[in-house]
Amino acid sequence: MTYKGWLFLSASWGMVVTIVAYCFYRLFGSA
Amino acid sequence: MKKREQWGSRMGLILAMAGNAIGLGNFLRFPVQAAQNGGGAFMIPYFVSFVLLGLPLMLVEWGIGRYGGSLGHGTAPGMFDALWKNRAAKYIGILGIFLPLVVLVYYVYICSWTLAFSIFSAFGMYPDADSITGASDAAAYLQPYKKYLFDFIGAGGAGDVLSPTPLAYGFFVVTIALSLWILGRGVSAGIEVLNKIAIPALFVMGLVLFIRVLTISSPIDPGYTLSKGLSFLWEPDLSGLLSAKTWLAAAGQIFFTLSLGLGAILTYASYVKKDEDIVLDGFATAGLNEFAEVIFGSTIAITSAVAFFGFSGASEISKEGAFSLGFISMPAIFSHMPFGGFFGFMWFLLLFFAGITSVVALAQPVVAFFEDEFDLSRARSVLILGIFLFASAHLAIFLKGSLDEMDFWAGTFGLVILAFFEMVIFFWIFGSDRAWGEITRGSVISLPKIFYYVAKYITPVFILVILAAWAYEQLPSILSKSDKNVWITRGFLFALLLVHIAAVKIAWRRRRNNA
Repeated sequence: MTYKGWLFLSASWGMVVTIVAYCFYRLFGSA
Repeated sequence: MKKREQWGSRMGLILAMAGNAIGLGNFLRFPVQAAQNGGGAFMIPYFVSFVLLGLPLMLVEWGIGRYGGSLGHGTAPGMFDALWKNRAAKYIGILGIFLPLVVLVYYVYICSWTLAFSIFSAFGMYPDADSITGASDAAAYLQPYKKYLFDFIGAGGAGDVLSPTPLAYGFFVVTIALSLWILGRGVSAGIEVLNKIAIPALFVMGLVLFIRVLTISSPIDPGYTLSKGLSFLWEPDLSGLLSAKTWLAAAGQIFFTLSLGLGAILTYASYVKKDEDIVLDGFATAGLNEFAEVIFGSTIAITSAVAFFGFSGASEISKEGAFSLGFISMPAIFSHMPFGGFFGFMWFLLLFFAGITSVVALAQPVVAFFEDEFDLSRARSVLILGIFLFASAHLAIFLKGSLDEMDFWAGTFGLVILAFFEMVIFFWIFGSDRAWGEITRGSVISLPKIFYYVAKYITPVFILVILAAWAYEQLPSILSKSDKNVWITRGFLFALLLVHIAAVKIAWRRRRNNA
């Protein structure tokens, strides 16, 4: 896979993981 | 006003909403759509649609649902009637019961296949990989597995009628009975408990399969690497960005995967507490769904297909659609893998958990309608639903083409129409400032004001464009179908719509008389 493919994959997975981590931190992390 | 049920805990609510959204589409439909529409390039319109359509609609559905629930309404007819003082509102809201019910009629049957195949995997009942000799390409290798699925659902014959095996029928009965039992236990003790078990288990199984697929080696290509496997879906073909087809596919997938425009989220949201932070809950739900789809869904089925059948084989499989990928290609792969029975069992159990959590979500609007608008008990509401569902699912089980016809009208076209009405009624008729106030009430995070403008202007226009494009592209060919089964299915859908109209009319007359 070219660097563009890895870039797409990293950006997509990174975005999803960030959304979930942030939401769960705000939901339960600071309680 | 009658006291309505509520979710037992915040975690239970989020898992139930995630279970509502995460379904077979995450693991089967998504990789096929992505593979057919430029791989990596599909992800750009997909994420744009997620932000411009998915998130605003998700928040709007949570907002309408909580508002309606506070007034004693768990379904769209009552919610729209409360938002818009117009006689037509409650009739438009019928879509919020009709659409999930139609989807349920065929979805529950497909869900039963996943339960059956998990058992077949566990007991090694697939065709034996060693007995397949002389297969020269992917199609030839997959032929015994295709025959296995087709024999199971009785789709091998040339006639108009399908003839599933008694086993297939038995699994359908078990799945429907299990769903009704869960629904009968209620929102907190039934649906919430199911999701508290099924969704964490789904993520654990997804993780195990994800790791297995990342460490897979190819039996046919010694030069196979993970990078090669992932490139099938993630190597961008930027020409796809200029294709209207790619944009439509991406937007359609966002609707389908987040269960938007169906009415199921409205009903679940009607059971939240008055001061619930729906912005954070809505984002968490969407995030969990995207995790299951973009990370697990993009990897498990397609990457293993590339490893086993090469690029051209995986391409052929994805062109044949979601059932081919999930029920034909995956069993073929597992039967060729050490501990394949165990991984196959896990794959189909994961699909079953994704499916059954969506089945109860699709069924709950009807139950809520009977409970809220007719004051029926939960047991009686579930019984009526059960009788109807059992009888009408026979169309999908026995009538060739019926499943696809229902899927088009409810699962593709209808949900975009309901979504459009939700946006217009909430943001334009109820009022954009009041709608914004409803959504953000009780929120601990400050929702950027840009979402207000996106929800008010961009999302409705985006939906209209999709609707117009689909009508232009797909309606003529759908309407030109003339075989008998298609018209029987359309007759069923039309009759069901009339029953819904009559039920709403009676419920409102009853309410007027009681007032």
